Amino acid sequence: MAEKILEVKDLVVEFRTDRGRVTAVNGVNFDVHKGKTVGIVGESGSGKSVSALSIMRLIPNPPGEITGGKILYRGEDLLGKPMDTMRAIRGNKIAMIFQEPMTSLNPVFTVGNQIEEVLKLHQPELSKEQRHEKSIEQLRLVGIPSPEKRINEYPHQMSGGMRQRVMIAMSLACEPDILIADEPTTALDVTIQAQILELMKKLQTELGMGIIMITHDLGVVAETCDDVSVMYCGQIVESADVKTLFASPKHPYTKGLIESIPSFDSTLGKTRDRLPTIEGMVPSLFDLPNGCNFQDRCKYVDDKCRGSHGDPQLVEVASGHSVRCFHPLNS
Amino acid sequence: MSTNAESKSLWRHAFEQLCKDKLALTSLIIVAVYSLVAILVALGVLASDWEQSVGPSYNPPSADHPFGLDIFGMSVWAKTLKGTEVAMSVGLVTSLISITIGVTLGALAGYFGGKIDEAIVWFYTTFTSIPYIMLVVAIAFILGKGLMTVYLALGLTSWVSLCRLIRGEVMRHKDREYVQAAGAIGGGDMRKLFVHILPNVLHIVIINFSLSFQTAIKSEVILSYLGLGVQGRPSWGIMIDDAKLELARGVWWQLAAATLAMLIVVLAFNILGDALRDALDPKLKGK
Repeated sequence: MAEKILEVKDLVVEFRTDRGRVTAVNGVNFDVHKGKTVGIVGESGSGKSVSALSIMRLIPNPPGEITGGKILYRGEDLLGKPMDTMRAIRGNKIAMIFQEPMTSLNPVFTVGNQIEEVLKLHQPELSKEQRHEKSIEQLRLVGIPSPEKRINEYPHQMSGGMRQRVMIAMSLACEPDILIADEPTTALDVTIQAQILELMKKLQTELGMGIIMITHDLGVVAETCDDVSVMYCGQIVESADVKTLFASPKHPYTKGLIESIPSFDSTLGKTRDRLPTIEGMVPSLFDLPNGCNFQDRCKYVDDKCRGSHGDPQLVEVASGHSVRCFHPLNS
Repeated sequence: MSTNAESKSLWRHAFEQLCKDKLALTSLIIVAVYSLVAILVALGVLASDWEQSVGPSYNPPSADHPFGLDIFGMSVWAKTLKGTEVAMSVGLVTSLISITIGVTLGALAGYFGGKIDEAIVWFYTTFTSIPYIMLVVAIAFILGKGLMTVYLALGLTSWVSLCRLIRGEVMRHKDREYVQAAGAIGGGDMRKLFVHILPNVLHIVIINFSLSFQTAIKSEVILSYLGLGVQGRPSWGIMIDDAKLELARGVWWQLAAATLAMLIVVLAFNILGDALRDALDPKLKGK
């Protein structure tokens, strides 16, 4: 097993709102290994982005607050670190790329300027020329043609895919241990999406960083991840390695997600069945039911799920495969 | 927009936009000429002999002295030029004071929000509730008369509108993803605010600069007219003040020269401010 570089333990993040406190992330655990990709999948509002921002300690406070748990980076808890230590880690040891390449670059600076800024912050020993050289190198690394010219361009002169490449170049400038990718391909069209994922995989094998891939797209998970955690209402409901998860999902929610992927070669087209969906809505975080959070949408629900036995816990059902369900599926 | 085109910064783009507009370009040239005159006067190259009597009292405009002479036989032309120095320096220094205060307070209030924002908003709302001219007069009385008083009185009273604008703009920008990204690469609050957000709201500062410049010029004239302005040297306000007594005797040239000089530069700044807004405001682009 590869070296474990990051360990998220029982992370709890709460937000204070006008309607009271909500727990956006409730006891989340996952590990990141060197050179491996861990996927966090979930719907909007399931807490996946908040978990990622917590690792960087970038949760806006107020209203957000990390109220419990540990984030161990190479054995040291990041939650206890003073802010300037955190700033030295951000972008240097742990880097992040965002969902919207259109808006995550500063429109008034050239892309070269923005890559050089990362180097300026974390490698002050480099001279101006060295920084410039390195920035061109970074652009070349992410596959931008004629980087010597492109480096002087402004973000608005680039396409979405190009900008996401620039974001990747920026985040990898200091060769971080961990790259957090918050839906890096959601805003891109499918062909560009494939290119970007391909690029990330290639860079991972070259540089050996661990990637946290946050997405709601199971296709992206299948293509890039080694381990996967599925989140629902701020909790991990199932986590396993990617093959196991797709082959034998134990949680009805995971199964529902996998079944609702349209497929070309299934019997769907022949039998003219409708695409299966998960009925119902995600419950409001202000008003979570007793027992299992998924009870209202689950066809296997019984009294146990409605709270007679308390909340379901994440239980290991096989080696490396945990599920939070009273009635794990047998498949 | 072709990607092969040479990289153009927002500012260069805006400048080129400005140059396409003939009226704006003329205004820009007028402002440049006024600035040049002011600098030359300050260096003593132009109008250094304004105090000299060059002819009989109240000599009307003639070929030698196209703007006529005043009560002491001084050339009104030279006095107008000397007044340009005062006007331009008041415009510049006042704007710089008000921009410094307005941008700093507005940016801090907008970015940090909470108690800081409340304190700053309370401060400027209280501040604006005092009638502006009274405040200026009060400051002028405290500091005594003179050019420095004019700078401070006008500078300290004209930052509020810019402060409001900047506060709002910074609020709009602070949650943008590029600011979040700046945090994710290890930038602190001050870096995010002053390195990343401020250049994105700078166009507002520039537009405001051109407008506050001409407001300051007008205000200086009002202050000088009220006897609170500069002392011992000509300014357009003092020239207009002098004209109170002269007009009854049919001496119109001093009033005309000062008013005309002011009219041209204020009009130029107004047109320029408008053109800058068109060139810099992305929402008005492509019209």
